[in-house]
Amino acid sequence: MKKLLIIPAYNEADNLIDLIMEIQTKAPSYDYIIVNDGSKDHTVKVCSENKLNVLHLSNNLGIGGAVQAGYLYAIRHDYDIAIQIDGDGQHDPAYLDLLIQPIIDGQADFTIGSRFIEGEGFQSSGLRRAGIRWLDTILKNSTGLDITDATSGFRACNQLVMHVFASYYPKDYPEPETIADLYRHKFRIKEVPVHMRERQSGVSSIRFFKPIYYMLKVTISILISRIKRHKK
Amino acid sequence: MSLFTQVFVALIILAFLCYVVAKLRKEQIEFKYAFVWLLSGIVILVLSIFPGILAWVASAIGIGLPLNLVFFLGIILNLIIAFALTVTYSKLKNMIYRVTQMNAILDNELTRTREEMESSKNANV
Repeated sequence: MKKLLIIPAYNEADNLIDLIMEIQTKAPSYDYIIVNDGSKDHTVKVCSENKLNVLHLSNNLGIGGAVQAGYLYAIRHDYDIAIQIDGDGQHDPAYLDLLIQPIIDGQADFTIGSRFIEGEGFQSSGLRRAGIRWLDTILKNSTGLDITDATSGFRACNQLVMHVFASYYPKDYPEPETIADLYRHKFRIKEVPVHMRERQSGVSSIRFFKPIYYMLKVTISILISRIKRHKK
Repeated sequence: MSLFTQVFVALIILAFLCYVVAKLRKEQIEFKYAFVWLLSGIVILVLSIFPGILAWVASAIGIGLPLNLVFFLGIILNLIIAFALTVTYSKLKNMIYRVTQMNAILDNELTRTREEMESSKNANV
């Protein structure tokens, strides 16, 4: 079974080598693809010096477009499972096997690594948790799914889901909306408990006034997703 | 409307129509997008020559001052064009995204093929 890690990276040059080393020691059976989303730091140099497997996007597409490039790559190279993992060191590769187990067992098409099921490891700030809880509630009301960590970027999927993501993936703040999309396509979604870490260096992309736009955009797009026509 | 105003407006509109046609001739604008401008130009041209139409329509739908109808129609037309452009922009954005993504994937394959060729060359030597 071919497994691919999709690592979106924007100005994460200082974290990349550590992450790749960690993947190669903790999860050697996984291939990886870094998606360099038009970074302005020395990501290109780090990648070519260390011969890392990377997609260099010539324009900065944002997280949605970057991750979608990874799914396109996964389909093109015929991977069975694709796993999204952040380039900032928040996600521990030690949990990869647990994350994909439901997919291998055929119990789920899509799994989400949740930091809130066991409530251990880095739990994020109170305000962020409140925002995540709100999105969980919106998802629960519009789909009936019991999701605890709707914004988690640590997620795995099979080939069928890859094709859905390749044809449509939200451009900004995509995670909660994609859950609603997959529910509409009748895929089986399952959460898996994981521990997360605080980001190793750099800053989160959601700051200043963005949280207000974030909450509005994601809330509305989850609701819109429910009334979209089912595409086959 | 005085005769001077009528001629003045008609000349501006004619110049504008010529400009759009010139753009079409040089293939610098797609017909699909030029069409709405040509159409609205012709409508304004007709109205400037026969201002009676404007006064008649305005009184028929209960607008006291014919000029207000002009403003109203102008704003509506602008909104329609702006919205149509937003739709077009979204479509273009999706295309640019896909081109950027595929370009990166092909670049990755090219790099890897080159690396493989070089390592096999070194192995042969």
